[in-house]
Amino acid sequence: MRIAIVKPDWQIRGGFELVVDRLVGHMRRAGHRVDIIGFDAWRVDHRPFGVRIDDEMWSRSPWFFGYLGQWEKCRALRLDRADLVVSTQPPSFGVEHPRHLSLFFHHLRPFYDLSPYVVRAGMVEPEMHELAAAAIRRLDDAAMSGVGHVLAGGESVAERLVSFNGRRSEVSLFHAGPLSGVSIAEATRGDPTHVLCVSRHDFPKRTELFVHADRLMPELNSVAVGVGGRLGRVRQLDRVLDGDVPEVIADEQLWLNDPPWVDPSSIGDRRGPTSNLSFETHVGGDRLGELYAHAHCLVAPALLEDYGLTVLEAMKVGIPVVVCRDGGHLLHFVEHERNGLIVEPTGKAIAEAARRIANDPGLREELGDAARETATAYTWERALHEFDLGIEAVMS
Amino acid sequence: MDVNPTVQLIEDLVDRALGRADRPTTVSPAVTTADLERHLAAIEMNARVDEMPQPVGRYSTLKRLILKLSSFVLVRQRTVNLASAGVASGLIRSMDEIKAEMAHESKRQAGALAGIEPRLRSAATQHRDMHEETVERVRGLEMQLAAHEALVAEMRARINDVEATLVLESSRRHAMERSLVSRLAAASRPNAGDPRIATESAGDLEAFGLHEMYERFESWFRPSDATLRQRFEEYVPLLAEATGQGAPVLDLGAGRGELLLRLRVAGVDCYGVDSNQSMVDRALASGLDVRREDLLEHLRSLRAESIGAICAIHVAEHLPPELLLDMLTEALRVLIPGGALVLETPNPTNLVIGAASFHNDPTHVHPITPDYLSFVCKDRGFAEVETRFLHPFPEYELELGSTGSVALDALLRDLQWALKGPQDFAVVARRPGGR
Repeated sequence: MRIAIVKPDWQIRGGFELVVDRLVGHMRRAGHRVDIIGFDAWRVDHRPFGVRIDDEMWSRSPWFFGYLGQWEKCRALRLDRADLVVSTQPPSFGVEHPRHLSLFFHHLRPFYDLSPYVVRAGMVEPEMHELAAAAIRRLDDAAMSGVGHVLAGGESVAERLVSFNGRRSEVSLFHAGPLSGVSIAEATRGDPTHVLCVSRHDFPKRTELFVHADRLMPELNSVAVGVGGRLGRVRQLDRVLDGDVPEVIADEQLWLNDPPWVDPSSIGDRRGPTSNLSFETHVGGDRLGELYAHAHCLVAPALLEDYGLTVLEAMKVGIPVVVCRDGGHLLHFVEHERNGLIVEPTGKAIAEAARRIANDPGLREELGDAARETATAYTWERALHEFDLGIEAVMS
Repeated sequence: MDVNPTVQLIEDLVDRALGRADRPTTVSPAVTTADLERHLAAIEMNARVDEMPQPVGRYSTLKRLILKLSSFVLVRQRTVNLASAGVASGLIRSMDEIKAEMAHESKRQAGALAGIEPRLRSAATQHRDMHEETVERVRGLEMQLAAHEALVAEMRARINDVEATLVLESSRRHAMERSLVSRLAAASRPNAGDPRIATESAGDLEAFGLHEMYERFESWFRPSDATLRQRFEEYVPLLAEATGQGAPVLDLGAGRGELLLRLRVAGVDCYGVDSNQSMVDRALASGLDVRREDLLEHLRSLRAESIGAICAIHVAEHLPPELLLDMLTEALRVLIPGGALVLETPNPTNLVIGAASFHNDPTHVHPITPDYLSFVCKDRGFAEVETRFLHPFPEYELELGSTGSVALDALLRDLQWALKGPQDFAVVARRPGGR
């Protein structure tokens, strides 16, 4: 078959791009001709569908108007020659084709599950946001009605499709397997030396809570791996958050906000006076394996995670995980006291959980073994089988 | 904010995105001189309409007569045709003249440009010299700028630190204020013994900033998500009956919306009400329709016979007796005939629940026995009242065997119920009629 994959180009190489790479390889090995039809998601004209939007209006909801621009680009794509179209991130499911499979990992989240949070964080103008959200949901509903079959990237995403779009039929699940390929040889596994957090520094990953937790466990070292738009801000927090942390610090104020961008390079190598936290940005597989091998546990403080690939990767190599009770899809595979700990979304609760694991090697081993067992269910063999079933559903 | 123009703009954009707006009309391609001349030749060829060849053959006499009779009209038509052709011919000649003038003007301008070119070359040379001089100066300025930028970067870093410190100080002050307000309120509250205090608990929680604390408390003691999903699944078939009646299911005290989500997955039209803002935010984040309102006020605002089914899971134990009765009265009024009411609450006949864990929650008013709840439902006018015991501990399933004594066996069974029996019970009742 000639298969067209439609994908907005955000000029990043994140987990989703790696998932798409795997699927493209799989389809090519099966003898299909696969073309990735991309469009620049950042460069959109301020004239969606011929209507000139002045700068003032655009600034009232750049996400909304940008989405319309991307929508227009999608609709302009010529896909007649493809036997099957696979759409990916929003709004690529807006393309029109009689055999259309949507690999659906998330909505434009500020207008869906994250909507109340972006309002409370002051990221949007509430009245305009409400209008824009209603408009985007109408557009997406119309687009969704033209999709032959939806592969939902996890149970949480499938539930959102039901609750937001009323999409129940022709939906099946797609569970991506671990991507990093990191493994830990038993010979390299040594005494734990640090608490680990592997996450982008973006809203709503809440890595600010990890900084707060670090201040409350002065006897432990911490390592944060990742990049993102809030890296400078999080590093700045690390500098100024000293040991004198009130017990009832308003954790939400640390992350539920819309701070100005801070250039990470302006922080330099400076750390806070009581910080035991070191930041690493781009790490290779070997370094990540080394960090896993000596980690007490992996902390994933994210709010409403869509899937949780990083957490699964840590569990695959036998690392117990600490996640928050509002962690979204993470709660579909992390079970409290069995393969990890589920805690309140506060620095204090995270610190207590990490300290508990660090002080009890037996618990670490027990949770780690169960985590490894849980992760065995998430393989690429299963993922590719689920993907093939999605293709079959569309073609039949 | 001036909403109307914004709404109109958004509506217009959505319509265009969905392909519902009018398409712009296409512009005709330009007409060339050759086209005009071709049309003019056709007009001239057929202009003399009165000079048609004389008819011959069958009916030729009749045809000649018709021609003769119409000749006075055709003569005038010939005049019009020839005049039109003349005008068109004149226009074409004018166009040709204009073109010729334009060509002439182009040539004249090309000549003028040729004269300008040497002057431009000279200006370019001067410009290059000036450019080189400017580059030198810019280099010098860049070195000065680099020094200033280093200074600005250092200043910016310090400002960032100060700003972040201010945020932290603000959060610390906020935390201290909340703590102080709570203590003052607790110390000065005059109505600690008021039996209606629970009706004010939602307001109190909000005033003292304790909604989030209650959500954390509730999370701490609640069963796992998987267990809740399984428990709520049991109610779905009963509540789904309402869908066929075209009336929604109302979840009173909807919390995070776990039951509503199960109902939505099953295709049931439903919504919820809760007084806790944090819980409502969580439910909204899941795309559910949950409104922040007082439960009783909401029921009072509804039309009679407008709700298909009502559920209130672990709500009744939070209400003082008179409010529970008011809620039942209102529920009976708003339910459609045959509509179901489900009330789930902790089972105090399990002594571990009644004597201990019930009191973990400080907002519980008092335990409600299955007999009482069943009675008040009947007393308020509900029919088909049924009590279902739910969620026993795993040990309740253990086979006890026999001690050999009938009395001891009975005591053991009672103990098994009292210590490991159902943790909750539900009363399911219906509004009379309709089934």
